[in-house]
Amino acid sequence: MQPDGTPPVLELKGFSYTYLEGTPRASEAVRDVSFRIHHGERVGIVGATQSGKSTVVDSFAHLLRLGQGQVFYEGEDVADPGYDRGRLRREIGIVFQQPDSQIIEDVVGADVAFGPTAAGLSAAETRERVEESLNTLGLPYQDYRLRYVHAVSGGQRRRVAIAGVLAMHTPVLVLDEPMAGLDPRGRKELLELLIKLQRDRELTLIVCSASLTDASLLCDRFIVLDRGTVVMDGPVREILGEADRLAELDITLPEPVVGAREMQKLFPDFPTDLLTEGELESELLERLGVTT
Amino acid sequence: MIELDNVSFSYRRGEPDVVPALRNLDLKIESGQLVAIIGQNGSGKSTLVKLLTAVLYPTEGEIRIDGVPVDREHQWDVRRKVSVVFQDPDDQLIMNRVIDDVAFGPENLGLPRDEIAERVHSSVSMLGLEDIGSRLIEDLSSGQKQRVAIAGALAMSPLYLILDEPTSLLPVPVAMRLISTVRDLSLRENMGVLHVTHSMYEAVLFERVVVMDAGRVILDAPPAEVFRDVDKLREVGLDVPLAASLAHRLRARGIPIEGDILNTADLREALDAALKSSPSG
Repeated sequence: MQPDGTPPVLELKGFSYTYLEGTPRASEAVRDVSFRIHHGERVGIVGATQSGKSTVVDSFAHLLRLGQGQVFYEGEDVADPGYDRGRLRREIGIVFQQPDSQIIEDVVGADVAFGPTAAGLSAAETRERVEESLNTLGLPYQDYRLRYVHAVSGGQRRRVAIAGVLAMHTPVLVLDEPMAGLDPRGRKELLELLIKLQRDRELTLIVCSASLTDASLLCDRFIVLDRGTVVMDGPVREILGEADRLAELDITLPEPVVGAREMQKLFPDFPTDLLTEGELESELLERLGVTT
Repeated sequence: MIELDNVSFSYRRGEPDVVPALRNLDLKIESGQLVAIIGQNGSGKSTLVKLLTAVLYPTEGEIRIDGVPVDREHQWDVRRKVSVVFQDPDDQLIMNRVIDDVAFGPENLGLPRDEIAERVHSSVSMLGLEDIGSRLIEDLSSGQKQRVAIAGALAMSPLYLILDEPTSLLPVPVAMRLISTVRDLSLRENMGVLHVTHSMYEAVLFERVVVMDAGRVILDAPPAEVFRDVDKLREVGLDVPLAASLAHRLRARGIPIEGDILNTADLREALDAALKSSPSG
């Protein structure tokens, strides 16, 4: 509960999950994971491959039959008999890592329209949503609506997938490795766009990644998973300050943090809670006695 | 040797919306050389890969691979000399089990059975896949799948291995281990490697870095030299390794950073030296 009494958007309580439970190939993916995510938070769920990130995401959409633990959406247990699970689909938008896994139509406009149409919106409302979503993602509606999905670049395909989810106007947006496969310019553009989108629409944003590089600029809080359990949970800078611990987890650290750890060999008190190259530069200049 | 002689290529040639993708490219790559090719999307990297694998043919100019011209008539000779690994291993893995997939290429060359077995065995062991040889490909992680794809390419015994962004969907530590394996292979087999990547941290590990922009080569030199040209790289939308960029900024502040700076350890050493030589430090 927050001070004003509103429940968290999402809460996991003692969530555990084992794939193929009861068979010889059973493998435990997550164990006793608990956390709360509040409205408007920007949370990075980070960890190496196989740390349990995707299993946690799947639990949000109730894609897994819960074994142990509970998942609450807006304070309600999603496993309760009679709980309207359609609500999860309407309110939690998930963009999976491979855009191709969620693009179903051949033509960009039709693909983005799929969700709103299926949700029962009128043709006019749907058209408006498609136009707005494509424009927001820098794929101008008039230019892109009739293009073939297979004929646009990988980065554009990812944007089409995101547009399809945005068109649903979900208050919660979950992105699994949103930057994978994008070139530096594409990453920078998508990063700026997501930051603006989150702010404008007051979205609750959840980003899953094995790399903290972009997540540290996009999120204000990290939940760090290691082999299925939560090992750290706190504000981004606080987590980055514990770079030595992070480095043991096979997570990609942001470049300024990597640089800072190297500088600790020269200046033992060099801080690691740095987000940008500029911050690293100022710390260095200070220690070199150069006035800025 | 791979030789490109004044090569140009345009998509939709002769139509009003013609797209020039490569313009008057001259490039020579020695056998056994480790080359990284960088450039943003649309710079011509993928077109270059398609030309080198005889999927497309030059609109103008000539390409020769080990003396064999890249044209329709010689497409199969060309494809015996180069193997390619794509961004997404699912695009090129076709069999169910690991060793069957690695054997697929040599089997289609019609090689004798014992030679196939020998090639599969050596490719599998070079990529460290011995323990998972009989597993189903669908059960593997993306990093393991990419290793299987590379083993399959190697089993063709190519003169050149072309890697078309094979690491862009992999977590960084997995990508780095893969590049390290490829380097070892290249040195051991004297096989040339052309690695197309967006990662500057991978590019610095190669002997030579070719930077492309708008269908042209704009820089072509060892990494230390290429990554000194911070402004030019930024201009064409490329990242610069943080250490190289910081060195550039610190030099601009009058701090004497000497030598080639490719990683943060280089930078730390250069700073250490600068501190020791400065009168106040």
